[in-house]
Formats: sequence, C-alpha cells, structure tokens
Amino acid sequence: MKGDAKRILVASSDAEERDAINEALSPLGYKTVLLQDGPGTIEAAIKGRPSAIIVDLELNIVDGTRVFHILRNNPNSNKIPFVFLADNTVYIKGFRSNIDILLLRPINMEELSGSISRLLLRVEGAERGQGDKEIEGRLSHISLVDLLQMLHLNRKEGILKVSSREATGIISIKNGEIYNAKIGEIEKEKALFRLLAWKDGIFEFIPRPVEIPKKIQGVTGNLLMEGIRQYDELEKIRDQLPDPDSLLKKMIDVETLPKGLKPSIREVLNLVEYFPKVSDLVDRCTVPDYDVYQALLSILQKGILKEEKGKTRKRKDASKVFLTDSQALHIRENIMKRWSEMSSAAYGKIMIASTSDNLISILLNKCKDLSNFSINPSSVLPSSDKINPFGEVGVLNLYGGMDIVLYALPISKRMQPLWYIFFKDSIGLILLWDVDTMERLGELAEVRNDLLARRRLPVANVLIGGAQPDKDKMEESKVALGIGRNEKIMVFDPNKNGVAEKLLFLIFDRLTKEEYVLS
Amino acid sequence: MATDNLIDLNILDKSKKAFPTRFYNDFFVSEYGRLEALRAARYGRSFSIVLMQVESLKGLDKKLDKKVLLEFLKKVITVVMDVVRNCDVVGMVHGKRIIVIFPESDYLGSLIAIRKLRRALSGVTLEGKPASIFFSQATFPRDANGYGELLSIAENRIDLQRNSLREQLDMGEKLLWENFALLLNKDVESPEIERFDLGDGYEYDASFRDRLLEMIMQDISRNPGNKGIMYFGLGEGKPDQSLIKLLESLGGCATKIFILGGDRGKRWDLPNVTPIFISDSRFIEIFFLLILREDMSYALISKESWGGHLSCVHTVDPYLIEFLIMKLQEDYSLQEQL
Repeated sequence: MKGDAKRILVASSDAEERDAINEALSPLGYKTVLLQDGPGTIEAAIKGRPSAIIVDLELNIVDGTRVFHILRNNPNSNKIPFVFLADNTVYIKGFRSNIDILLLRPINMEELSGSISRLLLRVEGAERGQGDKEIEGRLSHISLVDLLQMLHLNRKEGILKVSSREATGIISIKNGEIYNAKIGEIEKEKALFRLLAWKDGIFEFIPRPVEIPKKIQGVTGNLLMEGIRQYDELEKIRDQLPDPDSLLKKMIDVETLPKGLKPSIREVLNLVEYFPKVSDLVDRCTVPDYDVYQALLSILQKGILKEEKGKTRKRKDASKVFLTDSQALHIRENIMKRWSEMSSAAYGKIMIASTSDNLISILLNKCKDLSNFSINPSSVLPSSDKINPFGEVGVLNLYGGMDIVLYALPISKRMQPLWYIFFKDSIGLILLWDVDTMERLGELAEVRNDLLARRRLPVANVLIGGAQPDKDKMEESKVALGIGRNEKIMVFDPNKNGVAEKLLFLIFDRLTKEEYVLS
Repeated sequence: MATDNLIDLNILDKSKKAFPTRFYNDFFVSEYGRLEALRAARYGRSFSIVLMQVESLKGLDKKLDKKVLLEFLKKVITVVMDVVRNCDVVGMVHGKRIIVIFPESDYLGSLIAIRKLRRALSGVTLEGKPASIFFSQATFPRDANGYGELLSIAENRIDLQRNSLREQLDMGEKLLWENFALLLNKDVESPEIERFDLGDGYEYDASFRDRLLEMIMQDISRNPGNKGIMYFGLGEGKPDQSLIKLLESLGGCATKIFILGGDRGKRWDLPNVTPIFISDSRFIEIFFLLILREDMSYALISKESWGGHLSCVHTVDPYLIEFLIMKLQEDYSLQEQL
C-alpha cells in the first residue's frame, strides 16, 4: 500500500513536545497525527502507512524501541523511516543508519523539520529508483526531446545512452531531472543541447542509481525548450558563422575592454588565446554552442577578433604522444604506492605557486597542446586573481583513469589556510617566477618551505624567461628561495618547443625517486 | 599556563592497587598501542588515541595535600572509565598524561569521545574548583602509521592546545557570536588564524569568497565519501543562486550540510542539505562557514562593512573549528554531532 505522502505520526508521552512538533511540521504541509502511547502508534501505522514516525523512546505502555521492532517485523510497515527522540545516546537494535534518525533533547524544532524534509526526500528518491525496465530504440522513431519528457514525467532514474555514427552521448537522469550530459569531454548543457540536435542514432535507457552531482541546473521542461530554441536560432544564423577551420586573431588588448562583459564573451576572449581555431574554441567553451557563436559574432563585428580564413594552425605537439600508456600506468602506480593516504586513485594535484597569473597563462599556453591535457575553462583565472591566482587551471588525463590537476595556490601569507586545505592529494609542486617578479620570491619560498614541511614532494623551481637569464639572477633566485647550491633552476623558455613536457616529466620522473628536489 | 602546575600522575603509579583494575601503567599501554597499530594495519581498520593532561585547578592557589590530590585523580579516572566503552584501554603515559586507546574509532569518533570526556569531567571538582584538563587526539592511519608516532603527534597537539587562542581568550566561557567577534577583532593575533580583506582596492574583489566556496565544494565533490559536517551561516533571503548551485553540484555526499539563518519561507529540495531557520539578526551581519571532515577542516568568518568591503578571518585549526561547531550546537540547541 502506498502511504499518504506527508502523513507523519508523532508519538510522545509529553503533550508539550507533541504540540511543539505539530506546530513545527503543520505549516510545512505535513499532516501530523498526534499519539501518546505505543499501542496507539502501532495501530495508526498499520491502518494507514505514514511517511515517517517520530517516536519518543520513553513512550507510555509500549516504549519507542518496542514500537520500532514491532513495525519493522510487519512487511507493510517495515520501510517506514523512524525519528527517535531521546535524552541520551542509546543503542537501538536494528537502527538503520541511512534511514532512521536519532535526535537528542533539547531539540531545535527547525532542525527537526529540516531533518524530516531531507529524510523524506531521500526515502522517496530511493523508492522511485526501483523497478524500472530498460528502454531502447531509434531516434528516428522517437525524438530525444520526447524521450526525455517521458522519462521526466515518470521520474525515472538511470543512464540514457545515445549513439550516432560519429559519437556517443550519455545523459544521467535522477528523479526525472537531467543531472548531466556528456559527449566525450564536453558536458553539461552544452553536451545536452548538442545531443538534442541529433536526428539519427540509437538510444537505450539503463535504470540504475545515479550518484553523480547535479551539473545541469534548471527544470527539464525549460531545458528542453531552451535546447530546441537554441537549435532553431543557430540554424537561422548558420550562414553568418565563421568557418570552423578559420583562425581567430586578437586585434586589441583584452585588458583594455570594460569590466562586466557577458560571461560567454569573457570566456571566449580568455580561451581564444589558447585555442585560436574556431572549432577548437567552440568545443572548449563551457557555454552552449549557440551562446559561443553569438558571442563570437558580436566580437568579430566589433573588430576585437579577426577571422583569418584558410589559415589553419598546425597543432605542433598534438600528434606527439606525451606519455605512453605504460608510462602513465607506471606513474599512477607510483603515486598510489608513495602516498597511501591519497583519497582516490583517480585524482592527484600538482600545485603551482606563482608570482603572477601571467606566468600561469604562459605555462598553460605551452601545456594546452599536450595530448590529453585540457584547460579548465570555468577555472581560467578571473581578473580578480591577477596577483594571487587561485584554483584549478588545467587537467592532464592519464591513461588508466587518473586526472592530474594543475592547481594554482595563492602565495600571499594571508591565504596560508588555503595552502593546507587544498594541498591534500598533491603529488608535486611547481614554483614559477620571472625576473620582473623576483621581489615576491620570499613569499614563494615561504609556500615552498611550509608545504614541504608537511609532505615530501617533487619540486620544480622554474624561472620563466625568453633567453638564458644571467648568472646573478639565478644566484639571487636561489638565495631568495633558500634552495641549496646543488639544486638547479629550470629555465622555461615559452618560445621553445617541448618545455611543458620537460617540466611535467621532471615531476613524474622524480615521483619514483627518493630525492625530491628537482634540477 | 605554567607547566609547573602539571599534576604528576606518578603518585598514581605508587598506589595503583587503590585504583580500578582497568587503569594500566605506561608499559602495558604502550605495548597494547603497538599491538593495536599492528592489528589495525593488518585488517585495514582505524583506531584513535586520546590524551588528557590534568593541570592546575582553576582558582586554587594553595598547595594541595598529596592525599587529596590522589583522591581527586582517582575521581577523574573513575569518570573516564565510566565514559569509555569496555573495549577501550585507559592508562597513563610518561607518568604525566592519561591516555585512552579507542579501537575501531576514526577521527570524528575520537573528537566526539573528547566532547563526552570533557563534559563528564567538567563536573569533577576539588574543593569546588574544576580542574583544567587539556585534550588531544591522533588517529591511525590518518595521522601516523605507528603507535609511537601517534603518541608524539598527540603530545604536540596537547602543547598547542595549552597555548591556543581558545585558552588565551578564554573562549570556552563565551557564546558563539562573542567568539566570532573576538576572532574578527584585528587586534587578536595568532598562528591559528589568518585575516584578509575583500572588496574594491584590495587584493581580491568580493567575488573571491564565492570562488573560494566553489573550490571547496569542488574538492569535497572529488571525495564525496568522506564523512564530516558543514555549517553555513547565512543572512535572511539568502542563500543566493550561486550557493544553491554549488550545493546541488555536490550530489550525494557523506558530509552533513546545514544552512542556518536564511528565510523560513524558502525551502530547497536539496537532498543533502538541512536548512534550519533561525531568526537572529547576527546571521545577516556575519557570514560563516565551518567545515570539519575526515580530510579537511576549514572555517571562514566574514563581516560586511561599508562599500561592500568584507573583513574575513579563516583557519584550518581542527580544534578551534570543532570548538566553534560545539558552541554553535550548544547555543542553538542543535544536535550534538560531527
């Protein structure tokens, strides 16, 4: 028997407590049934299955624990979640930690109502996820929009796999809501809207619990409408769009543009530096394709960017395999072996402490052409991080399923607590500076010493500069950083090829060795 | 606090016959700890140690008679014995500190144990005066892989506790908001905290706080299985959409998340968040975030002043954060949990 969605039994021998709970829950739309003893509670629960039972452990005649045991042994009531009220921590035999709650007095009624709402959401979600059957078919028979609407109305949970000749997309659905969509590395709304445009292909829906975070916001109906609208609009302007193979060239300094630009325009301008080819840029932007093209058209019209047709830039290093599969597996294995406390085999961080955000941009610019490296567009450093860049800036996907994240740490001493919370799962440290920002080397040294005192890591001391800097500058850097005479500084020349590989290889190479300071 | 006030537990050693039989000496405890570490490593389990240092009796100047002191220590140990489980081992370390070994207890479990011990011992007095007892803990394998290392970490932590802000500012006697005001006071300096300002003309603009929260959520979502607790203190009408999005992006997560303050009329269908409406204007003035997880501890308290300028103080000190969480739970009758 399916119970009343919001009927809650409140069983307590204390009348004041019953009334207080009633006053807290009734305004939220719950229908409360107030009971003062055990037999009455059991009878009410069996007559009509409630959504939850709030029970005082010291209930009259039959105590709360006994009520729980009796109802748990009845197949009609064994799934009802219980909220126990007690004065002290007690052991309750049969307590289900993922279903039942124990609240100790004094009880904050707002916390009680919050806990009840959360509990019911969880239980309803679990019940809905059961008993689905697989669906499969062709997009030519039923459109993806119709299919998603159907899954939404039936509040299904699972994975919808859509395959065309060119690619395969995955849509994660929970309670009928779209949680995420993915086509290769592209995800969220961007991937969803691309999938909605697919007219041919096959699909299959696999019901299973979806545990991923909700990455797509908004109600399904609105999302689908927006997806269709964007598709129609894109078709209308298709003739005006730049050639996917064209290169884009910046005509003015982006820094001179006013603040408060539309996020999509800001993202395009940030990324065009790294991905000048139109098709690459459209793929790398996080916003949906229509927004990217709209932003691009407006920027091109204003002359901020110029389309250079017929020019295609060779990706110098893309064809070059940076790490072989066996090297990647070896690195992963060594990381896990060396740091047993790593929270996941799928994730490690290389921390970057830099005296300026420009240096991180230079590094990213060299890394972007590496195979399996992606710049995190949502984390490309915002203008607010000019002095102390902060956050995830790029990811290198190692074969075998490990992501090596490049993570910028602010070097200001005032941000020291952030060094510690984001330092976990770190596997290397890169210190970046150039001759113009050497006055901040003291801060860099502090980061280095502080972090290395907590964890032995491979460190790369990297001086970014076009030509070989003079000996005095190198010596000055060593002194300011407090590094030994035998420790070397890597000179990172952005005009040379292969410097990014060399830097990452230095870190990976030393991961397997005992001496952790790099030359 | 001067170390010469430290009560020498060796007086117990000489009279251990008078003690409950399950209070063990140095040798037994260290052997047991060593074996427990081996057992935990063999079976991939965790265990924790809690150290207690009984110091001077607050407000008691006169030198105490050894017999009286002995009786008092007996009382302390009896209370500890009553609080711990049968499987926990209680004894002494280096004749100075009381140690409890908690088999099968993780980091958060050991913090809860400290809370219980602290509360139970607050009632133990000598001539009407409460004892000053410092606690610290260390957990295998989170903090170290051997018993000796765990012990030395816990001993270091007890030393830090004795000189902590909490002791210096007598924060234990104050309410949560008084403590927030103390921490936000720029005259208060300590290695436990760092301050920064946000807004136009500062190193970071006001949006940095959102970015910081985003990075924290991203980190949590990378390791969703780690247990813990997180409290957001928000003003009325908040949280804004960006925070809701961040919380939604967490998905299923073993960390309990609570949003305090806020708007009673506004309820969110976020399965991992418990909103608790609290009508208190102080939530409007001060934003706070308190996180205590197995793998992370962080607190950020910020106060908005003129022109959108934010004065912020932040810390990663787990004991300070645990203390602030305890104060929050006490002051608003929230469930005592970690």
